[in-house]
Amino acid sequence: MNPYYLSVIIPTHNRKEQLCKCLYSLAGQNYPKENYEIIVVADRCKDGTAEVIRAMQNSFPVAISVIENGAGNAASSRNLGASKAKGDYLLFLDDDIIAGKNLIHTHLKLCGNNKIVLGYSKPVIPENPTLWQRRARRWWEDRFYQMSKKGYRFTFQDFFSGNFSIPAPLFNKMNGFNEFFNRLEDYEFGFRLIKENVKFVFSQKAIGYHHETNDLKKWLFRLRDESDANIRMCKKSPALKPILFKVPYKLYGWHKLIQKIIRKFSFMKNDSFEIFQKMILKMIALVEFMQLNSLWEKLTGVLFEYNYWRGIARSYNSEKEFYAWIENEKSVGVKKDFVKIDIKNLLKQRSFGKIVIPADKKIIKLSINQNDLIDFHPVEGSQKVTGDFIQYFLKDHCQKEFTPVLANYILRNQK
Amino acid sequence: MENKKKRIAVFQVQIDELKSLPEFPEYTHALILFKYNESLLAHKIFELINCKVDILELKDFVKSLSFKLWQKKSAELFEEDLQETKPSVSVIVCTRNRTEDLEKCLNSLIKINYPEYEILVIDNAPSNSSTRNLVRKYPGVKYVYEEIPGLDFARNTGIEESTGEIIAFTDDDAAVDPNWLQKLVRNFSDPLTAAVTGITMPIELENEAQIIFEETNGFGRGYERKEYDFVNTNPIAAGKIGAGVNMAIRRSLLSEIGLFDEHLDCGTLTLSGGDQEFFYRILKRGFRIVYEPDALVWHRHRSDMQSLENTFYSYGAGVFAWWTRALFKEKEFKLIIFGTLWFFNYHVKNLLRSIFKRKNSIALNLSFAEFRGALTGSYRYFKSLKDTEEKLRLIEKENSGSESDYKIMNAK
Repeated sequence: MNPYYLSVIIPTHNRKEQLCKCLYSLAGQNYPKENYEIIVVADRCKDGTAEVIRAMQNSFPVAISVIENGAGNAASSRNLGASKAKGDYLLFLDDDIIAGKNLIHTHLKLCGNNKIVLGYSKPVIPENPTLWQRRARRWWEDRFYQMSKKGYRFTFQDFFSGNFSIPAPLFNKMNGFNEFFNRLEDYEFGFRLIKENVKFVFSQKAIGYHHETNDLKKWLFRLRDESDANIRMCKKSPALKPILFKVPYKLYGWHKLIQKIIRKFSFMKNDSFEIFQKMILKMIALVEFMQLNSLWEKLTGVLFEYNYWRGIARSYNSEKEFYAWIENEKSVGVKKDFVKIDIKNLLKQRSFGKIVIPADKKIIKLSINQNDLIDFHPVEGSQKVTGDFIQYFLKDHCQKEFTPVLANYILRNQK
Repeated sequence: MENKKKRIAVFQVQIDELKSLPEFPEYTHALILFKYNESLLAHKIFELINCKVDILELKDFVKSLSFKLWQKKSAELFEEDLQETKPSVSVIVCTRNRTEDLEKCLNSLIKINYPEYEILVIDNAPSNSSTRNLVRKYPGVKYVYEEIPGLDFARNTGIEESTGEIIAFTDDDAAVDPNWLQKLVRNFSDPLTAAVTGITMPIELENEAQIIFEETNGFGRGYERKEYDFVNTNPIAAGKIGAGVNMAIRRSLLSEIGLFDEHLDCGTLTLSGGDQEFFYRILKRGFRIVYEPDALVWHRHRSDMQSLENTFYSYGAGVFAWWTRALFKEKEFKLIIFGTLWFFNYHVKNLLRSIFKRKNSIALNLSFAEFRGALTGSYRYFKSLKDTEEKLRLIEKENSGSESDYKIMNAK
């Protein structure tokens, strides 16, 4: 195997112990130790992270260096680390991930010129987890499981910056992460990569154990940054609006009233809802103790709504103003040109990998014997349709519902 | 018709080969299980006319399956030989003094269509050595002796003694389909799946007891694949997911879920409920249970009325026993309300329906047995706690006294 040189870049913020565990896991990799280096970017650390690493620099089995950053921004830390990296490939890792033995090996085995390798950050939750942590684990595991399926169509929302590798030239060509983003800088980067037709690969073997330290409170607080980041992303590329701000379900009766009240609070100038938030959090704790899951869901839903809209309220003064912005220039970029592909021969030979997909954005109309089967529309921020995707999509599709065109094909073939 | 005793023939048929449906002499009904290749479509009980299934009725029913059939046929077009990694599997059969049934079970187990699996027979406090002698005839089957009576003791011993990543369980009075294991195991590709259960059909319905059991407590859970987790299912309703006769669990998640509770299930005072309690904990810890309708096990129901009544009693007792455990050990406080409601809405209602002989009600002795079981369930759990402790103490004493004593006893 061609021994590439790899730079592992770890941004960290006041998490000395977690970081040390991460570093030791990197020292025990199943890969020649002279072929990779570790760069820790200490972002506004006050717990002496930089000193600890400087102290172990000489005795550590792998080349390790530390850079101090004062920006308080993960995106800028990653860019700073990348600018000092010597590797052909860059592996970005979060400080709360403990690497599996084959992490680096797998990343470098799968890497390629125009390719991103996404690793598997397996969530590990504490011994007595809260309900939120259990749900978070479910969310993560489901995301990664979907990605591991053959023929998965990657979107920018599958790009997690906690465990991925990228060729250094590509990273520089893309100008790195956007430092304008506090949160979701990974989605934004992923979006640009997909626009450039970069291939995404996911491997379960590139495993790192992600120790979940977040909880409901932290997550709620982060939601505000999240919706704010979504708005910023939409401002850059308006076509994302329907994806990031899906048309909400219309609510009726009590639900509508509650929603209205919460949104009123969200758009208030002062923080008068904070007292209620504290009360509801106490209630949630009680409900969790009583194990009333559906009530828990409802109460968390209320806080979700409040915090998410609180983030939107940073840029807009009222719900009306926000929806006016969403509606405006929504119909940009609806293309109607399409390509027709007849899959009759492909079905016979079972060779979906051979489908030729046009490079430009077009609607793909699949048909059998001139009978229309299904259309695939280009989706903003999603990868191009591939043959594998079509195969597995259709397999799922016809298990869910009856497809007359296929039945017709089977009947004809029997004769 | 009235004076003729009801007997139901059980028969499985490929949907393409319906013409091969034979005559069923000496039967009044026939349960036909329709298959398409390796997957199951549906089953129905037909009334026999001159020992034959009525063609019109059969046609009507098969027509109703056509959508499902087309779905399967068209999905086949996109099938690909995926080189899935097949994990190692251990199949565990817990048994006690049922050598005849066990032989049939083992005969079906050695014919399983799976590359790498081991079979373990856990002999649970037997009164003679016939099971041991039987297992000797099967070279690949491992015999494990468990001295403490209790199904969950046996299951846990099986887990300890086995090595497979996936542990599949079946009962000694069951026989498995050759594709059973393959169909169960493929669902473990999802890392959150902690257990998979399958469909269980009656192997025979020869007498009233077996027919009543199938009608009221049958293990059939439909022909749709389902995924249960704590978001879509209330963990305390874990009973609807499946049963220990047909399940597989993932070993690596046991450290978080825990083993089977040894105070529950047959062999102890609580009589049943060990598998349901285990499913409950899986859901509660945030994992997933998949119901796989293509993984088929045939079960021989008890054939005398007395043991049918006992089964009803034990099901009533088991549910309330494991609910008591959940209430006290897992702090599931809502069970106080839910359990009371269930008692009145299900057990009391059934009892009243049987007394007044409403339509579709079960026989009075059965619903009364279930009612009595439900009443004693909680008490039985607490008694089982003490009882098990005593058993363990006794056995420890025996072992420390003379190690070889019980071995000699067993040899007799």
